Amino acid sequence: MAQQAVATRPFTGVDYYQLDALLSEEERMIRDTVREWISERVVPIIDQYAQEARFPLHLIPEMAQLGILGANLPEEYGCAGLNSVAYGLIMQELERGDSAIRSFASVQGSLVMYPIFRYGSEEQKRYWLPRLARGEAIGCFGLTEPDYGSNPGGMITRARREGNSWVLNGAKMWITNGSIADVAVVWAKDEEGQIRGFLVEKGTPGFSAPEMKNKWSLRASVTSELIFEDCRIPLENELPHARGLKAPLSCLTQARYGIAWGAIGAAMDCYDVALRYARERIQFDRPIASFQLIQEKLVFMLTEITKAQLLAWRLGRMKDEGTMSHTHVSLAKRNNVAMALEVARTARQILGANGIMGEYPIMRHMMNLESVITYEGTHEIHTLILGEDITGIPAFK
Amino acid sequence: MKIAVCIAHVPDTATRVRIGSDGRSIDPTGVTYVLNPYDEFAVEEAIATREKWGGEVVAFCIGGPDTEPTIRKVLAMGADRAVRIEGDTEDTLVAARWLAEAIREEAPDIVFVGKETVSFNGAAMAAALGELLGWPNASIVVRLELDGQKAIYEREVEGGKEVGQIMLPCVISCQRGLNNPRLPKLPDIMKAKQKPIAVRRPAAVEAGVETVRLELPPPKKGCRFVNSAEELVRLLHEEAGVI
Ligand SMILES: Cc1cc2nc3c(=O)[nH]c(=O)nc-3n(C[C@H](O)[C@H](O)[C@H](O)COP(=O)(O)OP(=O)(O)OC[C@H]3O[C@@H](n4cnc5c(N)ncnc54)[C@H](O)[C@@H]3O)c2cc1C
Repeated sequence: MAQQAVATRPFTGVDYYQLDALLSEEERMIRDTVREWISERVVPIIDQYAQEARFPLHLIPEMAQLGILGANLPEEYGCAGLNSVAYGLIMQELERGDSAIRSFASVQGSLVMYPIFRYGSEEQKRYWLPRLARGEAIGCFGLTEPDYGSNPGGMITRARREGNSWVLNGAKMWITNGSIADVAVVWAKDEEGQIRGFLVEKGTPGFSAPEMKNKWSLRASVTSELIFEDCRIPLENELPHARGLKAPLSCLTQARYGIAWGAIGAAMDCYDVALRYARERIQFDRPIASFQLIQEKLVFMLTEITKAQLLAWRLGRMKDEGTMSHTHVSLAKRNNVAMALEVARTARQILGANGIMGEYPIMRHMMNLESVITYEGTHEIHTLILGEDITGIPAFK
Repeated sequence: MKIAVCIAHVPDTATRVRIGSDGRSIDPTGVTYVLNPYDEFAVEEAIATREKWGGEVVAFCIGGPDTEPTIRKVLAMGADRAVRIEGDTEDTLVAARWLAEAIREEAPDIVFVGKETVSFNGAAMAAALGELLGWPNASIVVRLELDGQKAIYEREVEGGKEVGQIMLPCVISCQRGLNNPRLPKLPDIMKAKQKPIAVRRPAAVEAGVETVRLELPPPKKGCRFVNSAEELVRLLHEEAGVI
């Protein structure tokens, strides 16, 4: 869209190793389209939304129109049917705008549409997936509880069968999109202690979703508690094919895959801004980019981003070939998010005092990434997942 | 209604352009090429016209196989098919002859072009095409309303605007403000792969214009901050000599 192109901040993606040559023409065009949308629709407004701790709801129909929501799910359910690399590139571009935008899309696509697609009945799929793809319904995913974060298997939330209903009791915490969701995918234990998935609609008596305020991270994202007090839902709202902890964990694998790409977007933005700034900012009569200490920082960022890109690209191809395991995802999520956080902190230093201002995206990315390194499996938990995989010894407790 | 739209594959204005070793062409290494920004308005108008009146949108592009990503983008935005004219020219009249030859065969009701390319800024294509096709043309159009055999257009003129009526078939050159170009939908990007791009070899035409030399603008001198209005006036007078 040529007309606003001048009003927005310039951005050059990182491609030092000619990785574009590893992408198909369609994958590149998909990335460039989302990049353009982010430049025009997100970059000019996102600082204000983050400062005011509001989610830009008006962007949801636009994302839906482009085909971003659940983009890797099949067309027969109203989705775009894209491959995993294209999906990853979309996440990368969204997070270049802001982790809140990517989080919204990750939750909607990987944590709500995916479980319905994978574990839902045909009726649930036909009813929910097209609506969620069109952005007419918003979803959230409730797994974490106040007392069970890294250890979700210990969850307290219970589902009890009573005639033609399931009755839910318990509380979820830190739930992205919670207060704006029309449908919550909720994980709870039945009377035998088996984990099952349920679809709880907004407005169901006994269900409330108060927003958690005063975050210093992901400020442009809605985070909520989900509270269930004798919340009665029909039997057909259970996801019939989900049993046990591996069901929610398989959804997390999808979302973590997207995060491994998303983090690169945030890092590229920080690098791009820092490089431009370093070339222009004069101290001691010279651009700061001419100082070795600054060059080292820039080279560090470039190198780390390039390595992360290679990981993500290979992960995506393995996912499409069916050779990817959840431990591969852990490695990429763990590396790429920590990389992005380090890049953001480094970029912040290059910008000096300007680095803390909303006029630049750095501090916003940096604070967002503090959540991203914790959610979807903390950095430490991914270390333990990989540690167990290579030694054969679980070290979780 | 059959709608033609002419599109150009041009260097992105955001990339740093270097002059090639021959001194008269752009060095393409490291330059990203995009759909000419003004052509986005032409493509949008073409697709919106088809959405309203039905029919078909055919895109025409001069260039080698390297222009195909740009053509695919236009197909992803919604054009039905494309014709790529295998050739390379910097002479607008030659380009217009090639395009007119291809367009005449399709016999469209209306032809949309961008106001100008951001690479050569010739701004002569609509007039040249109109002349060669024997059709009226309106340039720098910012509003257009089709109505059966004619269209009402609004165009920018120095210090104001002009509203006119034009008979179809005609050639319209599109200016910023005419519409809000859409982004392609992601699934349509995948589907664009299946849309046909015909390749045609144009007739040999002798060029009447040739670029002899390209020069980059002199480097910017940078800006200076002054502390007072008096100082500014003195510098404008004594150093810049403009007042
Ligand atoms: C902004 C935001 C949005 C979120 N959105 C969602 C959502 O939509 N849905 C959802 O279900 N959840 C969501 N979460 C929750 C998130 O997944 C959890 O915060 C995360 O799993 C960590 O749990 P916790 O915060 O309880 O930390 P804890 O599990 O209490 O961990 C605290 C610290 O201890 C470490 N630790 C824990 N166990 C071990 C161990 N065995 N060995 C070594 N170290 C250990 C952790 O790595 C961490 O550093 C969100 C969180 C945030 C911040």
